[in-house]
Amino acid sequence: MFYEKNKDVKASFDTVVQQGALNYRSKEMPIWCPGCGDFAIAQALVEALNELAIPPKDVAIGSGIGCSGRFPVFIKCYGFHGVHGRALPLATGMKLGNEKLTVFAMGGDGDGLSIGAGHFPHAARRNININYFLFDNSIYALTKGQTSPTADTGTVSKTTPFGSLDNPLNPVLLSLSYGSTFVARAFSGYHHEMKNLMIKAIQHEGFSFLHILTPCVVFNKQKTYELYYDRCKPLPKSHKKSSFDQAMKCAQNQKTLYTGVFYQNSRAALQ
Amino acid sequence: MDITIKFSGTAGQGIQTIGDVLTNTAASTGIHVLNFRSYGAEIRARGNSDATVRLSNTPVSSFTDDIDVLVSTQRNASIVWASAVKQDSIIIFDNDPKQVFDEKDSFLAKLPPGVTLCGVPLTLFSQEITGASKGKNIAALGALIYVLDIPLESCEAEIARFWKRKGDLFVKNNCAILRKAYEYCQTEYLTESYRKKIKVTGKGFPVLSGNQAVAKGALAAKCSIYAGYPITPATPIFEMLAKELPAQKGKVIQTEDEISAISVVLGASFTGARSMTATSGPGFSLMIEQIGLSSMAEVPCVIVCVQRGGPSTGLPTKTEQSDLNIALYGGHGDTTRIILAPTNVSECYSCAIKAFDYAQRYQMPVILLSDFFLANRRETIHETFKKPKKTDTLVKPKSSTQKSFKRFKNTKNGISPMPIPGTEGFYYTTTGLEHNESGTPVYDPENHLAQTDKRFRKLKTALQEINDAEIIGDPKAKIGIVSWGSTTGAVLEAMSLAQSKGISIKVLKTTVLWPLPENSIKELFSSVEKVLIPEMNYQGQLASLLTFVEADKIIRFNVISGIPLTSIDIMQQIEKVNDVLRKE
Ligand SMILES: Cc1ncc(C[n+]2csc(CCOP(=O)(O)OP(=O)(O)O)c2C)c(N)n1
Ligand code: SF4
Ligand SMILES: [Mg+2]
Repeated sequence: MFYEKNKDVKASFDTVVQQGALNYRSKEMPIWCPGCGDFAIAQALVEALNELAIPPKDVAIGSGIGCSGRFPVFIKCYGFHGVHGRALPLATGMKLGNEKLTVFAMGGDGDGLSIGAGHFPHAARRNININYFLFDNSIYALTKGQTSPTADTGTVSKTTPFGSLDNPLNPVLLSLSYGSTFVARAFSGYHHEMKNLMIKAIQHEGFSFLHILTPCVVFNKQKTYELYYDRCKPLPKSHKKSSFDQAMKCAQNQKTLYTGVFYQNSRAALQ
Repeated sequence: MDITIKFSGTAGQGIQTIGDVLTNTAASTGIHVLNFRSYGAEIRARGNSDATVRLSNTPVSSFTDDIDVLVSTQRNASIVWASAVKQDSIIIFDNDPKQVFDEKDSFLAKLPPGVTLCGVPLTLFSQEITGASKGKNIAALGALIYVLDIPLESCEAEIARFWKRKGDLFVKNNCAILRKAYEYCQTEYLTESYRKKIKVTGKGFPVLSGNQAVAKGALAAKCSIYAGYPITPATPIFEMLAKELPAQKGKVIQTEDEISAISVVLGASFTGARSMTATSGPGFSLMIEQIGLSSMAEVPCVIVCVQRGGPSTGLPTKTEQSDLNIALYGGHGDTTRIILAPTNVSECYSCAIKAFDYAQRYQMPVILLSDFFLANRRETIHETFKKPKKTDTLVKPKSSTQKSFKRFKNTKNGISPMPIPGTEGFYYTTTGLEHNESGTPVYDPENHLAQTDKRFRKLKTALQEINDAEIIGDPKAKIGIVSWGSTTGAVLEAMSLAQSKGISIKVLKTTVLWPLPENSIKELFSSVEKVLIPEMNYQGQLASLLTFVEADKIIRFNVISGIPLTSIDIMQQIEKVNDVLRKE
């Protein structure tokens, strides 16, 4: 029924199957809730890996704890689902251990910007040649709905029943100021763009940071698909990714959440 | 001969340096040496610097409380330690301007009987050669090697080695100062009361500290990743590997904290790389969560914990053995781990190699417990260091098993083959969540029990394969000692002392503390009437662990002075136990 009504969806699904991206899926069924933004991230990654023809044997993913942290379980790869907040140093170890691997660090906003926030600047300044995907749903989802470091001031959650007082962090701005050599933002509702950004991130030699806005449909009623469809827009055509100042400016725009590559430069990478 | 020398002076006078040069010189002539900086009771004046060197014609691995020769770069009235010297000892000091002591001198009154004063114009000799007084430590060394009857040429050769980088003139001047003081003593101090001669054999020994030996072991084991965060007293391991790992294609990373360090180790170990971190108490505490991860996810992990006084920031430059409990019990849940505790510098080397072997073979955390004393003392090594037979002990799956591959297969010995990234076909995700044989997270009770059983079965396998416990001494002895770590040196020396006083002792020595060598422990307990357990911690952490055997036989000896236990300390306890037994 669905496919008959949505022929274009069927067609793109068929292409994906034909192209072999699904070979990158593991046998495990994702445990995410229907509608969770994380599905699209998984799908985009398998497509990106397939397009780049990186064999699963050379893919290593280190992840933290959270709904997002489960990610590697569902991918055909060598995965290490570690402890809360340590995806970055774990992935750093993987890359140092075997520099031939394509290494990812993955985790949520709580994982990467709260408990593990101390690792972010150092991974960036070392320019370790890994890809850090931050799954930002502005909520602690796995623990069922507490406020997170990217939640807006005033957010009502289970631990902030009267509204939170804290200012939200801006991951793109942080990453830029930490000295990341590749800084991009994607929205899991814009699948193709996200996949292409992943490809660019993987191709970048050095520390690639991809901030992914990914709605939690169960616990976050503020940061919804609707909100992001409304506010996410590609960076202006005139944007120069070589310009740090432009990147900083675009990153500070709170009304329009730009997607695309904010900044890229090259500097000796650690591996 | 067995001579303990105390070097003393104000900080900046090169006191540690002449201790080191003497150590190297003596070692190069075949004398056994033990050197430890700032060892001894805290009677040091502010800004005072001291070092202790023990020389012997047989191997030594602990200190006594005696001072046979005191070497001071100060003038008589300001000589710290003068009141602590032994009867019939010799004091070398700066006698410039030359002064003659009269009988009632207050300095003489402080000294025990029979002390020989060996005053040398140290400052003058230095000034004569270099125009400055900085070389007076070298002059003191010249006098000392005369007293010890160590060949002048050996010391000159060591000076040339030691200061090679400073250039020829510097070396030449130092040798001239050395010779000047030596020859002065040769003419001034002829009688035997000025000599404490030690036999030189000519065949030299290498000298290493415990930290250096650990680093050497890691290099020999082909460690390829070191991740660390600086902390006293573990940092020298980091610094040495930072210099030497790159030459064998290894990598070193200074992480942002210890949590990150152990993460890097786990990530690297996951890819099959031999990796390690070294830390001390505060850093070790931060690592605990991931010791659990290493255990649960079955990823090899080597952690060196160089113990210092605790808790909290504690006593960073004092020795203690108080991290046994955290090594044994640190972490939540039922956690597997192997704990190795070397008892001397040579064993720091061999245990480091074993740590890598065991971490990979048993896919679990291996904790090497060193301590401040072991780490910082420099010691002559009289056996040749063996290179490891294998530098990869990971059990990997055979390619034919791809179809039926289960990463956490519940095998007979508990060890399941671990493929590494880059291997075609054996994909899996390891996780700190409880998981089934395939690695899928599951929480049912049967599986949790089966997998926990499997993980602990590896410890049973390990105990059969790695146990090195031995009972040394008189089989008929009624007093047993269980000792661990650096304290064992003093215990073994005390055993000989006791023997000479007619008290028989047997000692259980093991470098593997966990899995516990239960059979040897039970054997020792059942064969003696009392078991003395000396430890440098307050609670008696090993003694508490052993109460499951025969608690009423245990006699605890717990010291937290921060100063290494001596054979005399242990001997006193042995005598006490012996008295109790005699009365019973
Ligand atoms: C040391 C530690 N503290 C707390 C937790 C509990 N915990 C698990 S996930 C999580 C937060 C998850 O939020 P986030 O990182 O944003 O991931 P999400 O589930 O939203 O993807 C917390 C607090 C834990 N596992 N470990
Ligand atoms: S709780 Fe939220 S983040 Fe977690 S799987 Fe469900 S929708 Fe996704
Ligand atoms: Mg989140």
